[in-house]
Amino acid sequence: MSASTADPPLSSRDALIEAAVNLMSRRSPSTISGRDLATEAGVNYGLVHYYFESARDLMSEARRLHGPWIVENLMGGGTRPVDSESALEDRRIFGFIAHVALEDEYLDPSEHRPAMDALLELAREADPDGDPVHHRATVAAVTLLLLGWPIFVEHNARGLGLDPDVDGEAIRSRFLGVLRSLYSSVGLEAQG
Amino acid sequence: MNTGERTPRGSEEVREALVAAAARLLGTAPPERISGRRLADEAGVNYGLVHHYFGGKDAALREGFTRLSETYASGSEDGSWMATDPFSMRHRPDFIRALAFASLSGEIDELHITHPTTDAVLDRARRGRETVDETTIRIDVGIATVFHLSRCLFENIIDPWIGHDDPEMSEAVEERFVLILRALTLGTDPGAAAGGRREPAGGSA
Repeated sequence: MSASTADPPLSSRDALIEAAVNLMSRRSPSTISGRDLATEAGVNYGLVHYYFESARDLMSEARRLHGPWIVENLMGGGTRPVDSESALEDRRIFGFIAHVALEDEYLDPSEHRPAMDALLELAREADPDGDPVHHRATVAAVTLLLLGWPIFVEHNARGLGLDPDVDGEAIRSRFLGVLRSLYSSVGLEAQG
Repeated sequence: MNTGERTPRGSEEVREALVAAAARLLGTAPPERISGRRLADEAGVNYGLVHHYFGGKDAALREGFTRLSETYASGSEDGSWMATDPFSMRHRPDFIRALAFASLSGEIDELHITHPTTDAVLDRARRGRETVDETTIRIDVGIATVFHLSRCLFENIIDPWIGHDDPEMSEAVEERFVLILRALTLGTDPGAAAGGRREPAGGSA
């Protein structure tokens, strides 16, 4: 995102949040400075401290907004399950959450997980007489598999003697089949 | 810096100190951020020795990784867990963190990391079914491994959510996770496993 003098103040704040999400999906929060965030956002460094107490505060805000962002953008505002195909394409989601998981101080265990809550709600609506353990295990398993997908494509495949260039399509379709099976067991239909 | 300890001397001690230092540091940062100097400091040896014994930090880091994966493969010293147990990686947060850092930085291939338990899991997957081709078996084991790694890497994010309003839920879900892991390995229906269906031992798809 580039600097623009025409930007109203609010969009500078948004640009900083977006910059935090971008950087945190590639690097550990502890290695990201306020200056890095300002440069990535294309805004003046002083604005980091105008809108936030610190770079850390800004990154915590980005973390808080990440779940609602997934619900809004990948789940149609909570009306449908995460679109499997787009989730597989978007490495940012995994990178961001993995970095947060690796740095405990950016983690708030008591905080809500809006995307998982929304998916659980969908499972309850689709399968109202179903087993609550089944619902919760399914939501957690789908989440873990989607988060773990980049590990597979970049690490496991070669370690298992598979070639992503040759077997990529087979891996992908088998993986999507697993997600479909989990979704459909609680009456949900995976998109894509 | 291990200032409290005696400076390693002799080629064997120095090599060992550097490999052990690499194994420790890999769980704290992505490989590209671990400099040769940091490695030498952590090992308590002279910087020049990294090059002398390994030709550079990359080879030392690779050996550090091998060390992590071999000690994981051999299980716990007191026999309380084995690498082939479901979700055994949770006993080795240092290894799972090292894998995550290397994976996130895209350097995982350069490090030539292999899973020491892969062959054992593949054998189990092959025994469990009859007429499936080898590629599919490998893909299924890969997907099962993703679930295993992810379950351990994201434990601190997922577990509080699972047991949020009901502590008994955690235990019940954990049992389903084991069933799902088994279904993924054997290529059977993971949705049914999430619903509590058990595959017969060695059962086929």
